[in-house]
Amino acid sequence: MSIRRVNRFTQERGFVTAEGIKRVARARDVTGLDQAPAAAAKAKPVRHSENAERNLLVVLHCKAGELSTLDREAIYVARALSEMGSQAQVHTLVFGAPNPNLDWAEFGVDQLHVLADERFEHYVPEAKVQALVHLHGQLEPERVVFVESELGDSDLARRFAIAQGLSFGGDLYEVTDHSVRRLSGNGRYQASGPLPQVLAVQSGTTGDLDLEFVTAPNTVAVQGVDAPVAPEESLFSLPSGDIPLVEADFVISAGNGVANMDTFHRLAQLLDATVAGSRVVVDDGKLPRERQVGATGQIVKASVYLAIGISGAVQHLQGIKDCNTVIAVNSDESCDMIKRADVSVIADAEEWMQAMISALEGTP
Amino acid sequence: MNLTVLISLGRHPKSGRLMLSPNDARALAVARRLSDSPRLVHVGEASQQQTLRQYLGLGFAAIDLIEAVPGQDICGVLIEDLRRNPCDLLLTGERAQGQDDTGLVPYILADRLQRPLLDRVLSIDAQGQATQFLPKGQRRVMALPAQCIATVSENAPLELEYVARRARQGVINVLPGNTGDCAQVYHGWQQEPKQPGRTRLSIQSTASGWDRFAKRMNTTGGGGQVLKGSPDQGAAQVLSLLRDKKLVP
Amino acid sequence: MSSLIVALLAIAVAGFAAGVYRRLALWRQGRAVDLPLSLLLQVPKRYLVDLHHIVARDRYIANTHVAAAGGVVGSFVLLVLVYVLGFKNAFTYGVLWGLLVLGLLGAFFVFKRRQSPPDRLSRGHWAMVPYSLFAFGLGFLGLTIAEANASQGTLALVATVLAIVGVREIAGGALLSRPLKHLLSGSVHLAFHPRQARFDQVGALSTDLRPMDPEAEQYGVGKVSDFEWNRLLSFDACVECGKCQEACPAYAAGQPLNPKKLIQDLVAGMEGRSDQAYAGAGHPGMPVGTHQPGSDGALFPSLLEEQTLYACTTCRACVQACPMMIEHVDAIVDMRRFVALEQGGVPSNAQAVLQTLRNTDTVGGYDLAERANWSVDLQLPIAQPGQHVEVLFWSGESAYELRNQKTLRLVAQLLKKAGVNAAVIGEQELDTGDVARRLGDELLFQNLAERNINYLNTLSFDRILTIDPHVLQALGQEYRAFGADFEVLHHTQLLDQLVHSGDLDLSRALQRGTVTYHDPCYLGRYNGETEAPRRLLDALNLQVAEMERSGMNSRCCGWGGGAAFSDVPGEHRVPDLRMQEIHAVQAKTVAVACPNCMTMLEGVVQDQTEVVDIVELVAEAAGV
Repeated sequence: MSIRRVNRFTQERGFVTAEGIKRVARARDVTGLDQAPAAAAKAKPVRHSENAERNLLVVLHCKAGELSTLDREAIYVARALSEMGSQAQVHTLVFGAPNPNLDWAEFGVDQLHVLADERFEHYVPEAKVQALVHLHGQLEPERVVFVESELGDSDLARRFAIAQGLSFGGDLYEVTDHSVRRLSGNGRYQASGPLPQVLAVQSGTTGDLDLEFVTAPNTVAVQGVDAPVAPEESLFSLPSGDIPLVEADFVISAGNGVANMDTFHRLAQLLDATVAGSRVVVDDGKLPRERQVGATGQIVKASVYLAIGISGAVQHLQGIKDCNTVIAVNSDESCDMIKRADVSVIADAEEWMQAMISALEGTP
Repeated sequence: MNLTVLISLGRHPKSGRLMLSPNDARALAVARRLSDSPRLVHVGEASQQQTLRQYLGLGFAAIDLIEAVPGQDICGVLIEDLRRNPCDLLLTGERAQGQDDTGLVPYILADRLQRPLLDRVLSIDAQGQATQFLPKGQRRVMALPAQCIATVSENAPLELEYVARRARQGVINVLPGNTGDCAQVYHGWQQEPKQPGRTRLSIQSTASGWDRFAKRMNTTGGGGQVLKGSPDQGAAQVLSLLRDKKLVP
Repeated sequence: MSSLIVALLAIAVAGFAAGVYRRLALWRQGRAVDLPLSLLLQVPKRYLVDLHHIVARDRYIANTHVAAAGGVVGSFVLLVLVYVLGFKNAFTYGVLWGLLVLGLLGAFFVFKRRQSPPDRLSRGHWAMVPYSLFAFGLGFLGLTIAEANASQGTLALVATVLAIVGVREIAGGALLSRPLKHLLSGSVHLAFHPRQARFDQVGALSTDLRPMDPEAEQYGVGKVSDFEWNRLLSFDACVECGKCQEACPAYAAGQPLNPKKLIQDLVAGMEGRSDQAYAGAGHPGMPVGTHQPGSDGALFPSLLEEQTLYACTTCRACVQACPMMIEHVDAIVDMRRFVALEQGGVPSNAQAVLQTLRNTDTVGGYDLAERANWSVDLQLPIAQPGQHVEVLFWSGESAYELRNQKTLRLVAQLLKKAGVNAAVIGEQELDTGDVARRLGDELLFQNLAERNINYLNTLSFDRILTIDPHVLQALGQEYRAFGADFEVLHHTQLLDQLVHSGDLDLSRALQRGTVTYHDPCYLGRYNGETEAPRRLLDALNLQVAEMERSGMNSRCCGWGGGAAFSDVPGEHRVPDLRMQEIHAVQAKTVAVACPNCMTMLEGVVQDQTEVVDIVELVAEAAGV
């Protein structure tokens, strides 16, 4: 007799940290168990690549000189693919000037090609494809790895693959040494196939990004590329009050514990954060419905979520499960939001907000 | 303005039922601000007419359904049709929702028809200024290139009011297919119902089992800091955290 | 003098006849209906028995009306008898004067009521009615006394003037669209009422909506002439008493809906004028005097707004309260059919629900294959075609909802304890489509209904059991028009039967403090079941406190009619108002009998009262 496992409803599972604090696990993998043995820190060997017979190319965009975790995952994919078979060199083409403190040796890049001409900051996909084709011709890499992003990577990957007539696999959520997998049929089906010539990966294709060796990268500026004609365009930022919650990066959220909404709005203004609220606050009419966070409201994927006076009902926590850093301010230490948050402040909401306001206004 | 919108049929993520594709409805929302009667084109089978009427229900008068058999290359069929029926602007959704869902079709069309492509469009105003989506509340505004193909972002507003009378009154013109081909590089994908879980790519470790275990255990994920103390102290600590993340100057 | 009286009578009759002609012309703007003229013969019985049953709820005004109306109408008859037919003797004069005095007595009590009238009553023309009645009574009293004493002079002159004022109001009401037109429209309405089944017996319920022809040239009602003529007649019968306004939860919450104003707006539309003359409370947030019908009698958007239409929860409190038996909810659904299927304008959140229903056959976009998951460990089999079961358990949307699954599971466990043979339906169970029908998408509803009925007809069962009164209404009443003939029970009814027959033993004592019962609209007003849950609470030996608005006068929780999805903003929220009423009786626990009431009441931020389904109390007592 086989037992059919059935979920009556999804449940957030919890665990207990080393300090004995009960924590609620998030969507991402979390490990946090007791007593870990100490690991000795060792110096990593240097991996040289002069005898490489083949190349792999990673194409990235630097945003304000920084790389995201996803960018690093793409490099790791290339590195992993390079480890299978004969020695290979991992090249990385970066659009935009990277921060000098980025440790390409730790990332596992053998050669870094930088295209820092600021005219490439504009919307010039055809010119980027040209530069890419040029480099591709020089290196003849076995595979080209992109990331999927809304900054132009997804667009570039597809243009390039089609322009060159190369096989393409995008929105990949799994890459193995011989196959790739992506979703199709609106998430109900999976499409798997052999490794394509051009890959575009989503986050989560790799495990731990720590390599057991370092490389010895050298940096070259890309030559022989025509500078693009920068088109007439204007960039603007939506005022943080107008940013839809699904896009917002820095969210400040009010719950039942916020007595004075004026203080809250002042703080939001000073922080230039996007305003949101729990269902209770919206139902009371203090905030419009579009600002409601939770299972029946919006799902927020912010880098920082500042929850003030929110107790953390299950539906609300569902709305913030993809948030990177959750900062909670609450006078009740035992509430679920404190268990969920990365940083918690046990204080009266009003007093804390006033303290923040005077600290922000006081700074020159 | 002579406007054509490419529409496809999607599948509901839970029930798998054939339905209109919300991404294409976003493209239609952009189109209806520019033209009273954009041309809607779908490549598919005549049996799909009932579902296609969901698009008519949004308030459009007609759809051109170009017949094709399952497995036939829709890009080839589309290119033939688009050469015969030129337009000033071609709008599509960002990707299909219920088919292969790669988002490649607009790029193939742009390449073969030699038309510029503008992606991630949120809206186009009457003066031909297109607003492009960028993350974190950023937007880019630029002029629409002539004769371009524009893909409408998944973040564009969705207008999905379906009115049964409109769906009934609209017309679907079934057009004969063609044998257009566009020499696309195929990859050999195998489709099957989604299996849960995934393998994460990792380079085989040369470290000992103990070392690997130690490393994993040391990274206590989800570490929650609890700050008790005066509100001023709490405020100072949160502020420094925000400054580290460069969210506050 | 005699001839003067006869002349006045002739004017009255002529005026009334003209009024009949005018009103008929107004009503006949509507579409034809297949009802025989002989129904007019039913009016006396329906007035004295069926209508009296409703009007008698307010003893003061019922008696006042008997006096005023009886006096006035009676006086007319006697005046004709005496002065036209010539039956002049002491007896007839005595009866005549007696009736005139009776009319004056009634008028006096109307006047008294109007001294500090309740908010729900209209001012304007209605405020003049007692004076007109006085004028009529005093005028004819004066005239007839003068005639009997063969005297003339100033008394007679004054009396004549008064009599004319009175006649204008009473006989001219129909012609001049004044309040006493209800004399005509009210009685004709009793004859040609759109729901004839309401007169099958006293207090009979007729609550199922009429289906729409999917091939109709136009869906629903978009202009005045789209209504059937007897619907226009029913709006004309409105006496602006405001009992519907008082009962309406949306109005109480400050949402832009006042059922009385809605009916008067439709009357304005019928008469082709704006709502300027309206002298009562308007739709909250919408000033009176700013709406008029569009060209060709179009209702939207100039006469009525979509937000008014979609604030309604279809709770039928207005219909229940109406002394003229007007069917407000039918009119609203007819208009919603037009908005949803012809014009567009359904509130966007409600649109999304309709889309989800269309694409997944569930309200929340769930997987049909998971419909029976809630019962997977309870040994409830899935019904198979051909295999007979006693009770077919309809899971409903609760199958996918955390809190309401508890109700389902407790009912299943109690059924098992009582030895009832039951089965669930599984993935062939589609949503009943009730939400779609209430929001106006009748085509979607009919599609779901047909598919459900086809599948249910392949199964063999005695009765269907549901925990949701909306399902009770849909499967038990609304599906009948499509050929279904199912016996459907609500879980409180089945549990009550099991307790009564001894199959379920409620031995454990409960420590619950004060408990109150919140009647669901679709169980009480729609299906007449208010006693079975109370018998259950009795059997549990609980201290039950009844709220003021309970039983057939229960106040809605705010979910019905798609209102929870339309979410039309108001000053308050309907469930908050209901919770206030629950707190007013100091209830520690409120027992509900509907998963939607559960959702709405649990959503209220408070910690004084626990919200439980009645089955939770029964299960506790049964030791489950």
